[in-house]
Order: sequence, then C-alpha cells, then structure tokens
Amino acid sequence: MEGEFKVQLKTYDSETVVKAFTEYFSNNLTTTFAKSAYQYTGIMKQSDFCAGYHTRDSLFLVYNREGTFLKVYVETLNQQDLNNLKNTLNEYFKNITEMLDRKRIKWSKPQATIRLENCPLTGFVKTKKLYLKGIIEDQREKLFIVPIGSVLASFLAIHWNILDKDEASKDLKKAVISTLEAYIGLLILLLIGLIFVGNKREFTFKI
Amino acid sequence: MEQLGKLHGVEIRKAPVADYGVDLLVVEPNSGKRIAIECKSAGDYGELPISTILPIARLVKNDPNQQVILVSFSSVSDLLSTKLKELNVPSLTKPTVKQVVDQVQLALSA
Repeated sequence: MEGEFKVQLKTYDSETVVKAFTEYFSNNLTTTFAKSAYQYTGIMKQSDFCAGYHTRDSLFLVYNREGTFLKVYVETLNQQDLNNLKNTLNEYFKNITEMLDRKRIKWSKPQATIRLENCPLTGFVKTKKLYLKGIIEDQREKLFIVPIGSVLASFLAIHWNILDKDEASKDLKKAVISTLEAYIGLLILLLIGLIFVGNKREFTFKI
Repeated sequence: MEQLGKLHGVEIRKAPVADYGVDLLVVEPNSGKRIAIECKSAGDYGELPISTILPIARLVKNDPNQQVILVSFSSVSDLLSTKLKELNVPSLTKPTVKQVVDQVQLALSA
C-alpha cells in the first residue's frame, strides 16, 4: 500500500523545484531512498528521483520531471493502516503545495491515488467550485425535471379531460410550491457552501 | 486453481488471491509455460501510479520462468513503461481481447 499525488506546474523548472525541496525539506534523497520499498526491488534507482524526505514513520520521494506534472510517492512504515497513509499523504500534499506557493510556483489539477491490491483509491480536492457543482447535480431532479414534468402532466390531464381545470390548477400550485421549496433549499445550501467550505488542501478519497 | 477454460488448446486459470494477486494465469500444458496476466486500473487518477512496478517486480522475481503481461485500463507513464521494459514485461493499454490473445500467443511462442 503506497500513495502518489501529482500537481501540474505552470512552468516546471527542475532546478528551481529541487532547490525549493532542499530549502524546505533538507532533501535527504539518499537516506529516504534507502528506507523506501523501492530500495528492495532494485528496479527503481535513486537517480529516478530528484528529492526526498523522511521521518521515523513515513517518507516521500519526488520523481524526476516527466511532462509538467510534479509527482510525489508517499510511503508509511505501517503498511496496513489506510487512514494513516491518507493522513500522511494529505500532510505532505499540504506542506509541498505551501512550499510551491511560497516559491511562487503556480500549480493546479491536484490528484492523488492510493495503490491497494486490486482496489485503486482516487483522491480529489473538494473545492468550493466542486461543492457547488455537486449540490446542483444532486438537486437537478427537484429543480428542473419534476417542475417540467408536473406542468406537462397537468396540461395533458386537462387536454384529455382526466382532470378539470380546478383540480389541475391545485396540482400545479402544489408543484410550484415544492419547486420553490427546492430552490430555497438550494439557496441555503449554496450559502452554507460559500461560507463554510474552504479551499482545503486536502484530498477526499473515494473507492 | 480454478480452470476457466481452454483457448487454442491452452488452459486459462484464475489464480488464487494469495499468488501475488495475479488475475489470470495461462498455462501451456505441453511445455508447462506460464503466462501471468496482471490487470490494473487507476480509476479517475488517469494513469497507473509508478509504484505499480513494486508488485510486478515481486511477481517477476518470484518466478523468473513465468512471463508477466500487464493489461492496463489507465495510461502508463513513460517512467513506468521504461521500468516494465527493463523487467521484460509487455504492457497493453486498454487493449481489445484479440490484442491480449495475440500477446499471449506471442509470449507462448517465444
């Protein structure tokens, strides 16, 4: 069980990135690589990485530049504890992106994955934009499909003489009220989202 | 090991989970040649994490006479692709069934 996260850099200058890691994390590439699972397979070399950092319980290794993505490998000493790996990955993500911000290196498209045997975990950052998009998608049925369906049903019921106009207008009123309720609910959710959901530097994982 | 069927006289078996998670094992009964097929997907991440090389390297080291083929449903980065080549593990990205069968036949005839 290991983790990896990546962020796209607007301008990826390898020298600047390595200097930043040296400045902020001391860059213990040799000792970090020696502690990692990669050391035992022999297939990955230290030269495949440009920076590394380790504590007693965890480590990260930064892969050499490939395209415009900065890719970071994360490993924890306890290979069985998924929550520990998630927390460690998020902590390193927060620290590394703060380092990028301080060095004025623009980054975007953060993504993370945890490699479990036969079950990949994908992580995404829950931004305000994603939160609002999620709410609108969840409420789509109540906001758009149900009102249109109700109006159409009332119209057809009158047209085919199933209901008289009074009965149909009562149904229509109910539909309008429930639509209004849905819109007010949406407004409250949007306000909560705008006030309380911050742009956290944290991955939310889903299987 | 559960036998799934035969293809062109070659047995196809579903490997047990304990066997390093090999998804499919193709066995040629006459020569005893084994082809292990590993299927991987990284979901929304889009590309296989480079650490995918770890279980594959273990698989190759565990049985050097067994040919391993990687079937990926996500893209494979250049670094991972290079490392797979070093291990002599062919990788197929989002292949058709025919492409997998062709690769297995190629490995069996090698």
